[in-house]
Amino acid sequence: MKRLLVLSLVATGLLLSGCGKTEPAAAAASGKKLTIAMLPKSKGNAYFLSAAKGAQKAADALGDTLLFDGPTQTDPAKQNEIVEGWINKGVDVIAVAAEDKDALSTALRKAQGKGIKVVSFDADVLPDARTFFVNQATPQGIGYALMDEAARLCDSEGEFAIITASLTAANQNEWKKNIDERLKTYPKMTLVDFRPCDDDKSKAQAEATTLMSAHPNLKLIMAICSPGVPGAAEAVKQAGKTGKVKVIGLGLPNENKAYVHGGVTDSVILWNTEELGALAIQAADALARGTLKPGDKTFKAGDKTYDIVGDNIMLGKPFIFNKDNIDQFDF
Amino acid sequence: MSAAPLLALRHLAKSFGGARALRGVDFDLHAGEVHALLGENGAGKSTLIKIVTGAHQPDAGSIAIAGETVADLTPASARKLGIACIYQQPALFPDLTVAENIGLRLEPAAAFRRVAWAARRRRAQELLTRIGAAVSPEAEVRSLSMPEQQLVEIACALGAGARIVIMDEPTASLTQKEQHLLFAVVHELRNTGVGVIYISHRLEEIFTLADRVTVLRDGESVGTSRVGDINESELIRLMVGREMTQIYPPSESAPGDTVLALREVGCPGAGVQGVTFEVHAGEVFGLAGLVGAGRTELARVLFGLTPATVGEIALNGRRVAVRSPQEAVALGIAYVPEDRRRHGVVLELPIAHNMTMAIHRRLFPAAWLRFAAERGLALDFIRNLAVKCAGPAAPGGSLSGGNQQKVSLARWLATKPRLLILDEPTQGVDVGAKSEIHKIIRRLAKDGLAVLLISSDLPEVLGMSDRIGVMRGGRLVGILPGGSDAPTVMAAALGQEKGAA
Amino acid sequence: MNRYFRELSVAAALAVVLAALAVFAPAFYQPQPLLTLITGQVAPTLVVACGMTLVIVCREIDISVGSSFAICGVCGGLLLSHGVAVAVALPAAIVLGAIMGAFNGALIAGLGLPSIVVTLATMVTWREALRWLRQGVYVNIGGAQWFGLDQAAGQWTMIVVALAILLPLAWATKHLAAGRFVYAVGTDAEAARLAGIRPRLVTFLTFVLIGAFTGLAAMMAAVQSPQVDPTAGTGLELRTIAAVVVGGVSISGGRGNLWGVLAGLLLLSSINPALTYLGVSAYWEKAIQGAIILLAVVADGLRSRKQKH
Repeated sequence: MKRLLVLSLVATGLLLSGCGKTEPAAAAASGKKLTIAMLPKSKGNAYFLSAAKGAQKAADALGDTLLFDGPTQTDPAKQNEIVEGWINKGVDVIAVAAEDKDALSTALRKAQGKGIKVVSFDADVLPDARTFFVNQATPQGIGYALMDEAARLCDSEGEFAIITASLTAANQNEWKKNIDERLKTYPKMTLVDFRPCDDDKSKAQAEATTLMSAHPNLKLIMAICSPGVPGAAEAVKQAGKTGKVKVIGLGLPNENKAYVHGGVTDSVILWNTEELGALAIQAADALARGTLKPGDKTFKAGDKTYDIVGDNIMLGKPFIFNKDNIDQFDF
Repeated sequence: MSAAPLLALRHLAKSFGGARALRGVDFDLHAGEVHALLGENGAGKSTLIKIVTGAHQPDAGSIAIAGETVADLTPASARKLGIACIYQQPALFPDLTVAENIGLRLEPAAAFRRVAWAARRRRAQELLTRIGAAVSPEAEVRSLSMPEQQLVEIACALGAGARIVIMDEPTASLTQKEQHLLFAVVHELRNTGVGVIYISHRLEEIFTLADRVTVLRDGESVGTSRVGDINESELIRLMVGREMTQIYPPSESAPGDTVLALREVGCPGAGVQGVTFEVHAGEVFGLAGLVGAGRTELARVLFGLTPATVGEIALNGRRVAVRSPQEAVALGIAYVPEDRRRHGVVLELPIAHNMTMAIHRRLFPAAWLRFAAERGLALDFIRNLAVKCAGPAAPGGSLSGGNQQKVSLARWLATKPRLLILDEPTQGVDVGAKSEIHKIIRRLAKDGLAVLLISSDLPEVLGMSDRIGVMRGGRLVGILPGGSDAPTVMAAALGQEKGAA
Repeated sequence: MNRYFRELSVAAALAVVLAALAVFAPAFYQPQPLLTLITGQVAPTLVVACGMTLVIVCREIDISVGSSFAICGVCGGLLLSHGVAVAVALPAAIVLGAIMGAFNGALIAGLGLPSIVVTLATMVTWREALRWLRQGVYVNIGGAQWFGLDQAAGQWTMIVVALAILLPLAWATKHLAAGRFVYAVGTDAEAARLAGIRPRLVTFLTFVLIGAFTGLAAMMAAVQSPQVDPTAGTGLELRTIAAVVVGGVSISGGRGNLWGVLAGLLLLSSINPALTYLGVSAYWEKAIQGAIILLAVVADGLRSRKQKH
């Protein structure tokens, strides 16, 4: 799938905007069946199909109608067209993942002007063009989850190394800061090296190969850019150190399935896309019915309660894909 | 003219390597005078100008400007002293406007000074009006015609307060009407007290425009006269009338079959038109003419670099089309180009590579290189042509000019041509090597090669050629027998009736 | 001064780095990681650098190799993933590369456009086209990894293939007339034309060759893992040009040889593992590589100044 996008998505998640423009909740008959439109960046994309699967389940449970449509390939202009179509059709609420936030915001403001509620998920638009953003991850959540998982696999003891995108990548440096923060709680773990792979799978493989041979006691390689995870895993496989050197990282299930099943990669960390889709629909529904209002501190959906920071509804802790669950995801 | 002359040159001398370009030139220019400078190719005019404009330092002699002797003239100090040169090809920035070009020349060159646009435009307009030029200061130079660009140059010179203006063949690329415009400006300059040094090959211009004329020959001033006191044939005699300083090897071959026959050959794009002549085996056919007469252009047509679009070319009696250098080589035509430093000898490559460059297919039929064969061939040529070098592996750049020329010649002799075109084969070559090259040319002709010899060295053409074709303005204007005298050839090249000589 | 001084000094620098590693980090010489590094990092880059050498000797440049590398890898990978035999997929990728090279070559040699501009345009166009088509999704080639061989055989195959390009090409540049034509055109295209060589044809063919080599290299890289990365080859043009320049090929054409390029590539490729083994921070990697390139360029500049005077 689109690991290019995932990185930018996470970047968007970083921008925890403090203020969302609020608007009195329009009255919506609480018993009425709502029409919820969901706009992914591209509808052929496995990542968004997975989110749509969760969204459909949520819509069914709520008794709403879900319209899922988007460009076949990522295409900001097509996104605008689809939103215009929905405005004319008169849907109740729209949930969007923006390809180009400036371009899409104009169309969404128009929708808001017609009384249509808007939430964004996955990739935010400008704050005044939606009421809430369903935020899938924070740097702290990612950093802590990676470090905790590494410690769990190493029994909180031993050497590990990190492969990053580049030494200047802003996202990766933010995660690294949180990993370092969390590392303080594991005094017996040592970070022996931190090397860039220039977002290149084959360079990641070379780096991992050298790291293993330069640090014979290395217990784990943590890749915090998506090409790094399969790259490091291939290196471990080729070095014949499967099981001896563990691999974890931030990436996508499909890129890593073979290595997870082969026992090379132990955990791939991202967020649960089905839950992200479901939450987007639940938030959209609640916003249209007036049960979710700007200024709320928490949002209760089904049997889970999500935190709201400013106008960001937080999906919560990242999700860990492993041997047991990875086959349920296809992106 | 009572006051000290504006410019006085005394006994100027200058050598480049072994070649003596100037051997003691005297020259005076007065205020309000147009003084023509005349001389055949290589007589030393360019060198003289470069010394006056500060581009070259003289080896000996003195320069005085308005009575004051100046030493160590540099381009900057020459400009400050009021010396300006208008070249045949104006050196302006084509993408800037006229006012910007004039401003660049005349305004102080401080990088962070603010440009006063209005003043710049006003000044440009003033200067242009002063010389009567109908050119807008706002026009981009790219859009101007050649004479208009020259006018801008002249405006720059005037704006810089030039007292001495040198014009180097200013009319070479002008139409009749444009020339008259330029002449008017020259008159205007003279009336305002500027001294003009006027260089031209066109004798009639000199008689209409100049007050005095000085003739240079072999780096010496051989005569200065008021134009009223001299006629055209006397001028021509002055230009060429020297003793033969060099002995040329005698012709030993009798012309054989016709190798090359041209009929009305032309390539308008290259400026060659209606050329008809024949060259025979064993014959040296010289091509004389002034620079720009179309001789090199004709050679390029024959070699397929700018293929002929009209007329017929026959080689050994068979009509051929020469559309590329590959075809020319295949047909047995070899061309030793004019500028051996740029396109003749590849200075970075070894001598042996240079010599075999045009014969790869013949020398290496099996595609891979045979170094022994290459070395053997190179050694043969080195011996045959007496190339002075460290060996076949030495780079071309390590050789002297004459020896480079021999390497260039060897490359083409290696193709075993029927027709050999030599373009300025002895340019920039010292006297010893020059006579060796002449002997080689004779020997090649004797062996049955047809040789087309292009040279701006008139005695060389006269001394070496069995017949002489004279070119002017892209046309062959006459074929003279070998042994013709210099004034006859010069008169034809200058476009004067032979009878006047 | 020795004619091959420049090549020898690069080789000497490489020897110094290798000797330092032998003393301070003998772990570098373990066979497995070394073999993986050579097959993964050096072999495909060397094949592209061979083509780049010819292009630069010919006084041109090709900065689109990274993009065509990605396209060839993905297209070859797609064929393999659909069960097409290696014997078909591999030549197909090479031909595809040659076609892209021919496109560059036609614009550069045919229309006389500057190669830096043409290949800049194709670099961006091809990369973006691939991004649009694949959206960054990996191509799974699964069983076709190592061309279907086992790991050891596959790795040795890579080295053999790289040498099978380097050795004949090194011989050909010296012993074939065609090789000499490239040098002649790069030194003085007009002199070459006057000598009956066809500079435009020579230039065109060097671009076809670098394209074909890029296609081959892309497949060599693609089969080293079960998944082909469509963003592969990013920065490949810089790595190969750096190797070529460090190896003593003059950026203004006409000079240099493949042995120098091999030494230059090995030198640049050894810096990164050396830093890891010596425990030096990765922050130094780019700085050291930059310094080596600068040194090479300054050395060439001084030499050509000396030649002129």
